[in-house]
Amino acid sequence: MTLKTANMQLKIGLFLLGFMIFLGVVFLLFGNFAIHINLDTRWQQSSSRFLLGADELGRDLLSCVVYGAGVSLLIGFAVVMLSSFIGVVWGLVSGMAGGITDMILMRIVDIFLAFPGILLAIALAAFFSPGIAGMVFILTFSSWAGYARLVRGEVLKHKHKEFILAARSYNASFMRIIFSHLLPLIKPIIFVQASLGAAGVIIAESSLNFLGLGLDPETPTLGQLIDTGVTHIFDRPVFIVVPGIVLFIIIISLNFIGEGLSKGNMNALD
Amino acid sequence: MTYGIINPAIHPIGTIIMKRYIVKRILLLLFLLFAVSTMIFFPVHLIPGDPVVKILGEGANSEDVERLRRDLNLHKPLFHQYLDFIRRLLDLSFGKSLFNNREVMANILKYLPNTIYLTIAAMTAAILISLPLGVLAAFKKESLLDAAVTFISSAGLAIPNFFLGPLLVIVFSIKLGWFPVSGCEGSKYIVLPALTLGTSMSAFLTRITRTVVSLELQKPYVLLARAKGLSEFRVFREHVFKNALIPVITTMGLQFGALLTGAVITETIFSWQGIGVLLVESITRRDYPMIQGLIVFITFVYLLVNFLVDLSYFALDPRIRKEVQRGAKL
Repeated sequence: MTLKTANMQLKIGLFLLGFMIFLGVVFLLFGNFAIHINLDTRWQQSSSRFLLGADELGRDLLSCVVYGAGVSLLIGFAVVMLSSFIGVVWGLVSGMAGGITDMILMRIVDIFLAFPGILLAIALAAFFSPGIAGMVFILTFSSWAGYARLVRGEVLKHKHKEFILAARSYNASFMRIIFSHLLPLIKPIIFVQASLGAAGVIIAESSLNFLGLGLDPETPTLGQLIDTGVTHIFDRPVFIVVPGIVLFIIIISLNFIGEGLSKGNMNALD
Repeated sequence: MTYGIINPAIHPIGTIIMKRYIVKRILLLLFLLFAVSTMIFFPVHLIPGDPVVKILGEGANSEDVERLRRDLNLHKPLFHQYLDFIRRLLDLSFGKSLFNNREVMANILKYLPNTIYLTIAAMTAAILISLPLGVLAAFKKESLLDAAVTFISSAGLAIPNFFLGPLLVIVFSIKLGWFPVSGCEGSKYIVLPALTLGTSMSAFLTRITRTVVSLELQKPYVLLARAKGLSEFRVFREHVFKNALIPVITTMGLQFGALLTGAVITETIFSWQGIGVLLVESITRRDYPMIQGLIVFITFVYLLVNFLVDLSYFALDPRIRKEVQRGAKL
């Protein structure tokens, strides 16, 4: 993969994501946004008022999709910010401290990584019924450990290199070594992990909502819309197709951004 | 070359170190089994409010509340409850379901065959789709076919299975009428669930296969085989195939976790009566012992498979074995 295709991939990803957000904003500004529950309009067919029809609670499907996509992006962004922050701090402490501290911190990371896929999130969602904040908590809880392991590995890789030694030799403070020597080196890899991670978080979030373990049904989410669509798969397939395609585009654009960044990094290092 | 995971055997380390590594891995596995169980025990007790009231609802009479409290073992001090929980894991009963009063393990074993069946079918589908595509893309690198394969695998990685599943149902069950919509009575019922579950894995495997095979193709032994005048097919079958197989197999092992949690969602879509459906049903019934037992069980299976994949490095590759033996002599 050449740098050019990596750049291309990054650009396509950014464009797709930006385009989706743009469409959402246009709809919010000029469209007929209606996600309040209105039992008079249940299951209405598409009309000028409800472009794609209304769902079982009488809400406009298109508005629900826009709202749901917003919720997904918001949760994805918040979870990635929180878990990468925790992971960076955890990994830096672990990698720089070494010894017994490193061992204890890494065994804790191992425990969190021991659960396959979204199982830990499912387990937590089974016991708490989360709101948006709860959802962010659950998903952060089950995804920070990956960042911690990644950052620790990077710290170990660079810790004994000459430039760190040089910084030490002119008495650079510990904080200075971390902030002006280590973090800039680790940053690109965290960005890669964050954009791929955001895609993963959004899949996890919609999976939980699809399973009925997520936000309450009055908050429209893409996963929950698809779940409704499955029960009406014969008469209203549009409830599966539209939220699904929006979700697919969001995920593929985040993946493209991550892969583009990562290949760009690799080429830059070559 | 290590593919994503650190391969301790690739270094000339000797059998003693290899044994030490295996012992270390076993200790880590035991530690993780213990820690995971502990972590699954506590959430029930961290729920704000009384879980018993939560299960029965606010209006329940006090007799029922007391009985359920006893059934859930919640009347004892927390530490006793914890010991009981661990004891039940050790005697492999995993506690009792609140729903049908049978042992959790008995319930799991009843649903497990369907999940195993689905998982194997999904893996088979993934292999059948991804190996040919990955190999072809590697042989015809930077062709139109390669670009198409790359695009398809990107799409396969990005499509969530709870969207893909219903999509396949719309096309193949409702429009074409080839396969049933849901259920699990016969062999026709497995096709769509297996495709749904296998897609993300096959997308991943296609990428790995393409990378691994194209790396092998750059090696001198391939040049020699081609110089001998072998056809591309024989170059692949007699030379590249075996060398490329190991990383592909280990990747499959590592993807097993994704397959397990994917099964939860796939089974729900198709009402496929496996442990995923059991988990989701237990969650709606607030059958806490059943939920805890299932989460612990699935995680245990996942950890065991990962452990075996790690060890299989030593068994699969004669080069690694020799490397280890040579290391022992040094």
